[in-house]
Amino acid sequence: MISSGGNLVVYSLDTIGIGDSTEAHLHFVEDHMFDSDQTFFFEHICILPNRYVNILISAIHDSLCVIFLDVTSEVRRIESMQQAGNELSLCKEQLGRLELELEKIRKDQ
Amino acid sequence: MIKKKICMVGVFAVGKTSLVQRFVKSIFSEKYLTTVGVKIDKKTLDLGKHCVDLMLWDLQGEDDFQSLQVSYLRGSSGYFLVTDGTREWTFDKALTLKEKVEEAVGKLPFMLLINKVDLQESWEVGNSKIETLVRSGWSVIRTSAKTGQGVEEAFRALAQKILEV
Ligand SMILES: Nc1nc2c(ncn2[C@@H]2O[C@H](COP(=O)(O)OP(=O)(O)OP(=O)(O)O)[C@@H](O)[C@H]2O)c(=O)[nH]1
Ligand SMILES: [Mg+2]
Repeated sequence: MISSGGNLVVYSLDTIGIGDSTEAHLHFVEDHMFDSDQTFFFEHICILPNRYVNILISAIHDSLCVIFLDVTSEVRRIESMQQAGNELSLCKEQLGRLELELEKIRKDQ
Repeated sequence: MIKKKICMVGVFAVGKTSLVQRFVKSIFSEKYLTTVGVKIDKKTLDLGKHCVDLMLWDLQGEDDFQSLQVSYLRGSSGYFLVTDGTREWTFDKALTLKEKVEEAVGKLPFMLLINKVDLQESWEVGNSKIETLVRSGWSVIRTSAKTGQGVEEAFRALAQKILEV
């Protein structure tokens, strides 16, 4: 994709509907990642507002392969559960604090 | 342009997203919207001698179900350990998180942020704890994503540290 200069049509990648240049989507990785022969996999990345992707960056022979997988709906599902769970945890923490305070007041009396 | 990746690490609801939003967009919201996975933002910082493009990776916080996913840290140049000054346990947790990060990516420039300093009436982290860390070489900054206190200073300081490496 990089060697295509962001021209997605060359590889029929325009059909994935992201619609921007490849570079625009890769602005978030450090340049040295492109030089390494390691494979990078990142899950649930939000690079555009309201769009989440899994990304695989891998060197294959002399070129670099970047795969985007749209996982927005999966993230939305996790999000509502996580939000509820974390709000509950915050409430429990607050309750713990209030209980401690109450105990202190009782002891002082 | 030099590009540097910085990660925001910390437990849930300490203010990682809010700090990035304050720094990048100068905005703050009281509403809590948890982050799933990672949100990436970018800001160019002029440090006098250099301009640097900061790639800010705002990671999902650790909670009861999900621990820090170290794979996100790959390729970073530095990180913030973010804690909530009104929830002492989030501060205590910073040590373990730092160990996890170092196990995964080795020693990197980092900075400890004690956030929500505007909430002095419910502040829990004692000065002696902070001083102990400072004496052992940690850089610690008290921040408020709400008022903006310490935020720009923290990002500048970490960027500077990274460039000096
Ligand atoms: N008063 C005050 N509230 C803050 C500050 N920073 C964040 N908050 C609030 O704390 C809550 C959590 O903030 P987030 O920025 O979403 O926290 P987070 O660390 O990104 O949370 P996760 O994504 O779930 O890990 C929100 O309700 C924010 O409004 C601060 O400096 N002062
Ligand atoms: Mg967040």
